[in-house]
Amino acid sequence: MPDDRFFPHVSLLPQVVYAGFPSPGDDYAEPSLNLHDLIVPHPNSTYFIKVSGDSMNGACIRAGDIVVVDRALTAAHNKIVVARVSEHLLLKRLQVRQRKVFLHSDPPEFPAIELGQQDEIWGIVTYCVHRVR
Amino acid sequence: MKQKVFMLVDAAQFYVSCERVFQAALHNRPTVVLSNNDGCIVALSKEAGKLGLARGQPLFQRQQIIRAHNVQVYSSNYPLYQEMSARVRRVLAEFSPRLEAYSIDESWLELTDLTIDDLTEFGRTVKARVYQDTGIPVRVAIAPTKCLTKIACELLKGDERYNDVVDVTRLTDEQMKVCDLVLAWNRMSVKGRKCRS
Repeated sequence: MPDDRFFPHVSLLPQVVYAGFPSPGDDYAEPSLNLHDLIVPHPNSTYFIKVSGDSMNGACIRAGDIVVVDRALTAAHNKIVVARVSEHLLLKRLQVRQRKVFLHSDPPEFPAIELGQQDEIWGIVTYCVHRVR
Repeated sequence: MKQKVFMLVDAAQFYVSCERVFQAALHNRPTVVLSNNDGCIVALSKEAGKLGLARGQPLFQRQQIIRAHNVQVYSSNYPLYQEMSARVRRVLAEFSPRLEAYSIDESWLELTDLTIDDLTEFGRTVKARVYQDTGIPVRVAIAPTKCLTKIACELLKGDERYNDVVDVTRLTDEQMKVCDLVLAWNRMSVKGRKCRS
């Protein structure tokens, strides 16, 4: 960006002007790939949350990972969700059984938690950012 | 002239709501947010209001109540509130091309040129969408003038039967005179507030 103090009324054109032979590729330039465009289709309703704990290792979501959570999506059976259960935000797999909603860990070593009247589905996990070591 | 239709969308206890989206432990707990340098209470949850805390009170004068009831106290986090405010606004902008941002937690949508059969239902839809996308609860007041939306919004604060959405565009002039709006107006005046539009 040009510095406004030195270019008060002049805007800098994005292209360079060629005194020699222009690049034949100039007209075909495309913007770089942006991961944000891929994983955040709904910027108003998307949040990134850091994961702690191992209860979703079976779904390849591990402690320290960052999950991408979209609140605009509708929860459904078997989706991985962030839910507010009393005073905690939990990352679990949602399962519907006999009209009751349960939160399961994966692998299901921990007892399932039934979603209560006061609890709510906070958002749906859409991606997981995992650092490979 | 065609009657205009304005919708005021007002985020209740906005700063507290912003903190609550990310802090599940604050849910239903008395919570206050402080001004810069933690001087005064600038936002408080309903639960904190019931304890006798109020906006503008200096923190040091209310320490006793805060300790006795384990009130959750937060320094203000303006980058967060600004971001949440922008998100709420972007959701609202999807409902009408005419959006006027009034303050960090209030916006007007003009609905005059939109064809909407049931304004109350539309208001409920807007409220639900804002909550679904952002986690911020809002009140919605629909009226023929901006001033009336402010008054109608004040009405919502005092009465839980409305479930945070009210449409006062259909009232006749006669009803307008006698309806609760006037009471709400009086209540505002007593509080020493001014209708700012």
